[in-house]
Amino acid sequence: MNHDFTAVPDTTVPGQTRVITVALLGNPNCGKTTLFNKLTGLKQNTGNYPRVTVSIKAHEFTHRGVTIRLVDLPGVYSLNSQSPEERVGRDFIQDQNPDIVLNLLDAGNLERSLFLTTQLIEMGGYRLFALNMIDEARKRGITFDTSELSTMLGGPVIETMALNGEGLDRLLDAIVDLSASKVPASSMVISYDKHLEQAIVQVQGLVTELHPGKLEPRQSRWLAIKLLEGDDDVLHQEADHAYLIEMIRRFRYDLARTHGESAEIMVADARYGFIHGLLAEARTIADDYDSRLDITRRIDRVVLNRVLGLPIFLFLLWLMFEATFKVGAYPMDWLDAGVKWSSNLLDGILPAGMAHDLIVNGIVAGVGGTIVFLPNIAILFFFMALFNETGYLARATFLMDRVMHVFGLHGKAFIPLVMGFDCNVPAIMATRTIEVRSTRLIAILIAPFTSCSARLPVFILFSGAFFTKNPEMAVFAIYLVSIGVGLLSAVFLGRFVVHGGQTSFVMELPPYRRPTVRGVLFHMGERVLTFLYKVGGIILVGSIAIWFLQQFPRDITWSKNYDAEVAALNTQQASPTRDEALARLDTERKQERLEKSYLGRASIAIMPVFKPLGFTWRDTTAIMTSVMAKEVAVATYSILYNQDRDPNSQGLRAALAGTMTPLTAFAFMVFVLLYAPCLSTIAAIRHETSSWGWAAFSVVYSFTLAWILAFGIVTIGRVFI
Amino acid sequence: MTHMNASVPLSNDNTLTLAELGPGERASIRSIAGDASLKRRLSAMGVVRGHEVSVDQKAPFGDPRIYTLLGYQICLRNEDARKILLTRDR
Ligand SMILES: Nc1nc2c(ncn2[C@@H]2O[C@H](COP(=O)(O)OP(=O)(O)OP(=O)(O)O)[C@@H](O)[C@H]2O)c(=O)[nH]1
Ligand SMILES: [Mg+2]
Repeated sequence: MNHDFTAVPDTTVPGQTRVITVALLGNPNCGKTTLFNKLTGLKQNTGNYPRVTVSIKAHEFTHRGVTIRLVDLPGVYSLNSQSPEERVGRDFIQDQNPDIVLNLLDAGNLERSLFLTTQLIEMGGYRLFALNMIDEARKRGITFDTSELSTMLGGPVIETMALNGEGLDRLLDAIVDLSASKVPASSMVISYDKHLEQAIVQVQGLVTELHPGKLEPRQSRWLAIKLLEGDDDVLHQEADHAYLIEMIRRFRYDLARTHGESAEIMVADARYGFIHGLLAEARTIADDYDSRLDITRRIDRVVLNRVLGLPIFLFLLWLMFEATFKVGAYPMDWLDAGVKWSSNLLDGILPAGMAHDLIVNGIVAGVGGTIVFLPNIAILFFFMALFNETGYLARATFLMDRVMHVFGLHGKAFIPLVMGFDCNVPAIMATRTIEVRSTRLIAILIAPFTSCSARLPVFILFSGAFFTKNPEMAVFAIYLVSIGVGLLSAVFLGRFVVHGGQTSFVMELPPYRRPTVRGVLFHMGERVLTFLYKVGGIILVGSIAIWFLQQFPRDITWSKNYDAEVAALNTQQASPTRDEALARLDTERKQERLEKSYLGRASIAIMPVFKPLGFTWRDTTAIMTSVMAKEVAVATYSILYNQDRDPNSQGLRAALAGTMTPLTAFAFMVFVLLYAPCLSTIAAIRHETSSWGWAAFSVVYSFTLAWILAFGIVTIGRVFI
Repeated sequence: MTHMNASVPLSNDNTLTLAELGPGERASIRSIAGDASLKRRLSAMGVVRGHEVSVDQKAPFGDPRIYTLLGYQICLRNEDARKILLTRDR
């Protein structure tokens, strides 16, 4: 199953009104997804850096009685084959024949945006154009003659601001008008160098002969140009026609010899020539053209400073975690109190019995124990949204490229890795922007080591329980371990497991943009909802399952007769010694019940694996259950330690404190950080590499690494402490 | 190795590679060396004969760098920038 790469199925059902498919085509970061969200009401991810969208998304809506199926595509700079996610966009336009192509242009950056457009108009087909981010162009005193533009591009041109919806009604009207158009779709001819043009005509002739009756003239010309440009995919398609391939090789050779320039460069020259001619007619510039970058340059002089750049970046990361921890502590306490209150309330209301225990000790403990971390997660997302929306993330890629390079990673692998702090699954999908397969594979394999927000609850719980002096430093240390292990793993994998070359690093850096309050809250709200769904889904189910597994079987063979011993003690005179003995018996009995439950037995069977690390069987249980989703570890502890809950206790944190030495606790945190990715991440690895082998490798590799590191920490640590 | 040619400083002091461009200088693109895929990618992004470029920012270790081209910023590693040949504007 590879549905993200394949075409969106045609939803037209005979007898229904026709559905108009409109594809959004444009450079990365020109606002396609923002426009898509505005028109469909969906909340797809956007951000101020290139290549946020890496797969096709389609949605239907109606305008003036016409059903429009809008398709959001990954951004592309040209229709030639490049990285996997660019190919998705290009293939959709070329092979799926959308009824209409809506070409989004960054109005402040028209020269480059129009390169893609020159290919589109050569290819032909119904099309219209949105001059998006018109607000930024206006601010710089740029104005357009849209009617002139639309004549020269062969389709309506409309000024829009996707962010606030300006111009979108006119855009929809134009789509509806175009869909009713009786005029056949036309293509435009861009004039090339004389020799190149002759070559095109000859190749076109041969192509038409080879595909008799299949190609319209505009299609055959388009194909001829692409072949002469040396487009790998098209050459591959035509590989059967040896004579054609030979003809193309000869033309390319001759052109290069006589012009001192390869054919693709000549084509690009001509396209930009057309663009400059077009803009000279249809655009007026009042200000200095580069002025939109002035503010960006000024900010960069500080944040990308050669000395301060990296320290500032580290400081921002530290600030993010510090805030996540410190600021998050207050609402966390309130939530904690709320959970305790409702637990006590239910405890009082529900009649004693199985249902009571399941609800109070299973569901409320598990779900409640996890949900208290909501504020921390929300704060983390707030910072991530801020980095995304301002454009700092793209700049951080620039800062880190050298460092990444040293570790054999591509600079482009940086954004996926940072995204991993949020969740590993989209991070793994985001590696699609990396062109070379081997480099991409390494990025996929190290992605699970970035500490996702699901692991944060475990770290906060543990650092609060075992590192009471400065818990946030323990968490920060874990994040550093996370980054370090990821980078070193990349070196290791690059050297011994995955072989392949480096690619060049060519990236557009968008100007800084002021994040909108709505955008940031949107982003945050969406992530918070995802977390809540998770709590209501897998955490809830997991909690119930864990509760049952630690309660059953009901009949176990006790190692001693607790009832008799209690009865014997009860006959004695009341004294502190007697009460103590009674309490100890009670704890022992509960302990034995747990250890002989299904869960306990399974954990004790596996425990030898973790014995050298100093983990108890409860820790083993948490490790096993959290393969489902890492937060389940917290729910597990909540349930396991809720058994001997005394009403005055300080909650889970206090119950945990003292069960391990800080050293073992840190080893445990490192273990949880690194060992086997959660189920969804394993599925994502399998999907993106199209191989179970790599998914299995990832599980085994990360488990081994986790074990060795944790063992190293307890062994070496013991020497020093 | 085509890019070796491009990285050798030419005798003509009007010609330089993008990697040699200093802060505050402006120059026009003359040609790109390198493999076809890099050429296609760069030319789609406006690295085309006649376009003016300037350097904005160097990363902490001097590599990669940010350039301004056609009114937007592009980031390139020095090894790629060495493949882009410029003519200094007079
Ligand atoms: N000022 C301004 N900013 C806009 C406008 N439209 C979008 N943006 C911003 O531009 C950035 C990029 O928007 P996206 O919608 O993610 O761009 P995209 O074309 O989907 O990008 P990719 O998915 O990477 O190809 C975001 O920060 C948006 O907030 C607009 O009309 N005006
Ligand atoms: Mg997008």
